[in-house]
Amino acid sequence: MRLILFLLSFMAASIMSTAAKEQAYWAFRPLTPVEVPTRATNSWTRNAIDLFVLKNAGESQLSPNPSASRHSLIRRAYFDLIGLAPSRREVEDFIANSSSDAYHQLVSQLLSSPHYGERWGRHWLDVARFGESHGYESDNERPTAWTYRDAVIRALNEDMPFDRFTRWQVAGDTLKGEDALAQALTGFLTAGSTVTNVDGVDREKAMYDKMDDIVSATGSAFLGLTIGCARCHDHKYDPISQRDYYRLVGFFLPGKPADRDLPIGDKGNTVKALTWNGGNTRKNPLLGRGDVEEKEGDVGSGVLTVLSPAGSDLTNWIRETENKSGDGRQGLARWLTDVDKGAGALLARVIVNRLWQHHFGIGLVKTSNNFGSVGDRPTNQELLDWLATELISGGWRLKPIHKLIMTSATYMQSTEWDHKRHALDPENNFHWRRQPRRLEAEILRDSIMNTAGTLNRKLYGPSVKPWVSSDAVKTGSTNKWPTNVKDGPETWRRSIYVFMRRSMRVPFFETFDVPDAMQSRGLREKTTVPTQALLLMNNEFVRQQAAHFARRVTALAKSRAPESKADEARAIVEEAYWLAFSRKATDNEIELGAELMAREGQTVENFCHVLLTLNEFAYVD
Amino acid sequence: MSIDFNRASRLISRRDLLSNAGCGFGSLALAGLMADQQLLADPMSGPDSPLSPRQPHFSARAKRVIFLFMYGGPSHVDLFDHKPALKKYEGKNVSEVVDNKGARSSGGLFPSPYEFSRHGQSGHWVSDRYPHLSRMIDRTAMLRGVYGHSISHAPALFELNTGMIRTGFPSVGSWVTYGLGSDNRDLPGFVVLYDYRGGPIGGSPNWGSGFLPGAFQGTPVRSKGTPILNLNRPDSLAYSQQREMLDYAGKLNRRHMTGYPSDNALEARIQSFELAYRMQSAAPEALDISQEKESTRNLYGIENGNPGEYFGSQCLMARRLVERGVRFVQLYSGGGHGDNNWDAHGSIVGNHDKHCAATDQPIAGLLQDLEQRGLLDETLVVWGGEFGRTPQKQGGNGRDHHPFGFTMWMAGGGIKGGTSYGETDEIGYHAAVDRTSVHDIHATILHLMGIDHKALTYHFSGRDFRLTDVAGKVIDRVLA
Repeated sequence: MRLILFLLSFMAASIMSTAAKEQAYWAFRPLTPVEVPTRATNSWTRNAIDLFVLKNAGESQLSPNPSASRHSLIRRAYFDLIGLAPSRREVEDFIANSSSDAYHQLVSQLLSSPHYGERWGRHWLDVARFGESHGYESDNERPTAWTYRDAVIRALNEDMPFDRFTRWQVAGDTLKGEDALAQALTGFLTAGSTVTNVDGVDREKAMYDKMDDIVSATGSAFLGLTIGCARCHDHKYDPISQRDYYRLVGFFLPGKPADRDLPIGDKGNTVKALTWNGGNTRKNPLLGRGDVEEKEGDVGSGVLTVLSPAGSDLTNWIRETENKSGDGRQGLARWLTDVDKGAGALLARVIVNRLWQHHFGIGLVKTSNNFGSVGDRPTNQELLDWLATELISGGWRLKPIHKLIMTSATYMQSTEWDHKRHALDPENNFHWRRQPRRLEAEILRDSIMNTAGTLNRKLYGPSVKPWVSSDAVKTGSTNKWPTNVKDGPETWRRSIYVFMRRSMRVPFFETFDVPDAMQSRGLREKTTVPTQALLLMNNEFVRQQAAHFARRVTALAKSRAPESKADEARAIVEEAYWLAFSRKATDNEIELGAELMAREGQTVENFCHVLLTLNEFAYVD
Repeated sequence: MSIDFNRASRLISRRDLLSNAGCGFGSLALAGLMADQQLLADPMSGPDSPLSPRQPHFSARAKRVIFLFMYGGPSHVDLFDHKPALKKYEGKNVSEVVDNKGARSSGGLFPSPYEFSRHGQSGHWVSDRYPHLSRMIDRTAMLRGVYGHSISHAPALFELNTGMIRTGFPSVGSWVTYGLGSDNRDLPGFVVLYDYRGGPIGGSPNWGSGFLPGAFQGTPVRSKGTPILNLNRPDSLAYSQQREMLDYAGKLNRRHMTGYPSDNALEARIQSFELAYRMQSAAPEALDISQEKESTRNLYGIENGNPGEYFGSQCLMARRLVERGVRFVQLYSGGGHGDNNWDAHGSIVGNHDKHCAATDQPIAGLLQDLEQRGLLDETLVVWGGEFGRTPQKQGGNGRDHHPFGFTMWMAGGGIKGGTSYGETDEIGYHAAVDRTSVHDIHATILHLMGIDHKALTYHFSGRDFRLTDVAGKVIDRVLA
């Protein structure tokens, strides 16, 4: 039967026109209402997501795990949404809360924390290839680029609808020029690298490299498409022509980065912000083979053919209905977010997949920056489409989708291991367990400071440059980082506020897989190499934080008025476990910790230092 | 073969044993775990260590590999693949001479701006950009008919490093260390010296271990300034104290592990701390090229301001590493973007003059030094980039990416110097005679290391994976 269906669909496909065939590709199809499967409902399921998950697992016998303990759940939710561990008080309150919707309350409360924007903003900055210097050899700083980072955090914190968030990043200046946030979000267009110090024909080449950076990032970030592949020739795998590519270039060719005074400072005061300054449409040739020496005609501006309604030319529509003098980016913005006539359905699929990825470690489409034919197919397309539909019908607000995901039994299940199910589904495509998540570089650094009690939770503002060993600074080609920094509250800020210099990534970040911001990145690598261990064992910053951590737990232990030295050591272990792992230490753990500290030459600092290096510190259940 | 051979899977079975005790750690007697403490405290020294040396399938010709990766795509037709016919066809369209379906550059054919001549007894053709290497040319087996499958950097890099154009697969260095372990327990088995101008496009997956256990991934080492940061213990910490801290950490991590049997990443992380601990004393010594005699340093062209200063230091570090038993060392010449690597789109002369000068004496020096020390016989040296460059012109006087036919070479352990295998057509466009796939290159590397590429497998996601997928043949004609 399956074979017949397959043959039928194959025959149907061969009758279709090329364009129709291209548009029939799963990611390019319009969103049609997806029916929530109801038959699977059982005592495990909590919401529609679970029904899709169970349906997908089908007859594979991959029954998922039961809910994780409240301890695990609160730590998981905190790290996922704000990137910081809960305090002892928060854990104890949550466990004591007998109300049936205690967990729902917790998720809502975290979603309204201003740290939510910091946590999720960092995810978006990877996608936006955000850096604060030009890159390449000279790598000049961009002292006003941080305003885009702040705009992203603010937009997420106020749960700006994602379609607006998208539109403002490509055309906020012309769509709503009077709004400072709209202006600041155009920093997306300026966030990438720029070739500098070039003359003559190289200057023009560098300008087209800049265009490529913008078009490629726009394609990857919003649509999960590798549009940049069509710079020199038609895309080899996806229906993106070279003409499509240059028509997209047309939107950006007249503009350039520019500083603007915007009222987005600490107290609404005016600061210089790096934004995009548009211009008027100008002649836009196609470059044969991507070569500036081979300009051909004027292709105008336009959007991807495959994601446009048949027979309509959006460019004309832009010109006729919008201002006649601009560069047409408002039209591009509308097209990106138009669910019926533009790329909106794909936009929604791509963003809900990113949310899923950062909640589970891996997306429903694993190649979250490539929904094209070289990328992976969704492991559960019905669920992906349903989530995309929910997003749109909920006015493109992300927070309700977070909540939907986090209150599913699929998300809430334990990490419990099982050999039989592992053998059937080693990659956990069917979500039979929760995979422990390793903290990313920034969150690891933040957690070290949070545990030590040194983290400065101040929000927003210009970037900071923390201490970096002079060995590392010397490795850069020029003096790219101050060498006389003394760490303190000013630099103990959350890592999202650390200056992102392309040629001199802070070694802590570089060592733990922070991307180089040269292109949009959807998924980070997770390497495990001894240089990471060396950093955690020997780095001056880590050692210093261990000392602060030690002072903190010693003070806490002393406040409990211990009766003896041994008593104090036990209290120290207890307090340290709460701070590092949000849980009570077992008797045995207390004994082991006290035993270490009792050894000759060992110190509270050494004990505290070990905790910061443990697997339990780096992985969240 | 895989089961017996594969210590890593035994490692997993030890973990399986722990978890199969029928319960979590809570009910597993602590006493039993403590009895195992010797092993647990230092898993790298136990019989199941993933990096402990293992016997090859058959007698190995080479014990170690140095892979010189010319990132960006060195031009075969300007270095080793002499094509006088390009003069004859100068300015003509490729399609007038050969079928060029799939090409993206349509500039006219472009003869090499460099002079070619024959060198050594082998008479290998080499252009005048490699004068030092020319003198060592009889050590090399030229592979002039290599082809790949991608015209873009990242997939092409992945192909040469992992056999696949997609990410997620183990690199050749990972497969080799997985197969053989390492002869030095105090250094990583697989070291990557990346260029000071940045990593290659695609980054760490180029030396990643894919689905193999994390212990087999390459350890990247900075190649300018301090090679490895944080190698020195903090002043406030004595050696013995740090050891005690690690033992304590090991104990806690092992207990934590029982909740996650078979989790490669957690296991790898535990081992990485033990290795890091030992690297503190071993690595500074291994990477300190100032210990070398001046004559040796000069051999590599390491003098201040010399174009070979930087890559020469890398080559010398590579020799010191393999000398100390590191199994696989990969060096990148070229990093970052544009003309900081071999990606000569705009001008062959502008780009390749620079990169040839930077690598010529270092590579020749490496071969000579290895030979003088009697190490060349057991060290396989591989040279190549992710693709070659087009015989036709691009931009001003540059060449585009070209995966359809290009040159690599091998020298040292098990290689018959002075031989060659494979040819491109008369303009250097297609690999035409004895076409050599990347799988063939990989099969040959494994063969020389004593490994049957069809038998080195890892079971993952329902099937046995190989470095060479379902292909690959050993290039017998260049073997000694």
